[in-house]
Amino acid sequence: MNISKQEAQASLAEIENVISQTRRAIAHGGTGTKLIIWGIIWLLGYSSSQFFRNINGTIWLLLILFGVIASWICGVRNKPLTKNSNYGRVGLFWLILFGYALVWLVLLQPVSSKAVGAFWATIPMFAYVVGGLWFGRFFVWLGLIVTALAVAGFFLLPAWFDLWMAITGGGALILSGLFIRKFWR
Amino acid sequence: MAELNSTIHQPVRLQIMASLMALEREAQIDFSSLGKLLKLTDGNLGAHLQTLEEAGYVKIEKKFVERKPRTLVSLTRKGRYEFEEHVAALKQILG
Repeated sequence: MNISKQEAQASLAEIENVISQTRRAIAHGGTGTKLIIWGIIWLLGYSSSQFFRNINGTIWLLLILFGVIASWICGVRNKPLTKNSNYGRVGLFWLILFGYALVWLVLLQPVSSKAVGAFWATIPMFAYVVGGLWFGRFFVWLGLIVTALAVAGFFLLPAWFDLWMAITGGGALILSGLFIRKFWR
Repeated sequence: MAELNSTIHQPVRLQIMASLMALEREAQIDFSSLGKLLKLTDGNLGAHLQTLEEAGYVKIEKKFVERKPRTLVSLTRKGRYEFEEHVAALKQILG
């Protein structure tokens, strides 16, 4: 069987396209809704860090607890596209990532709450960039853009960093969630 | 040297195989979900799956899930190997 270079190239492009499309369809189960939930949590959490510094720790704790429960409910309600896939591994991945992030925080001992805020903002974005290598460029770009916004805000707007993250980080997550709900099918 | 596989190279079967490759090993996808994903009619999908099953590349299982009949499709080890060989052959053509 002989084919031209152009046909081989078109076949490879089609394979890559179908693989990404399938992975997106598998990941779709509630992904958009989860991004919106976490976007709202970022918006409220970082706003509380900017305006209610004395109680922001409690607010963040309650918001994260709400986010974990809401994400779990969202995952249960969305029927998976495939059988036998080990979906538990995704949850385990996030637990391991945040466990390591806690260890790094203890070892690095950041001196300001702003540095802690920037640190936590980049952890899930790192996961998005790495996950994007399998699920498609969309997550790579989302992760890179929010990370760039976090770094820019950290150095350029130190006094308003938390508000900056609330609007840009939270906003990016909410917009991405809306995008996925509309276009990923 | 890897060789092109004429069974896999057919455009619809290439899509089916690529979609099944995206799943984890041993994972199964529902027949209707696969059809919806690739925008194929049941008849078209069924005919191409039969060809792939006869070649030993896919496994089709009929099961009752929550009292409803479901047809589940997965890639066999042979199918995964042959697809990887086909992709390698395509890459060789590009040089």
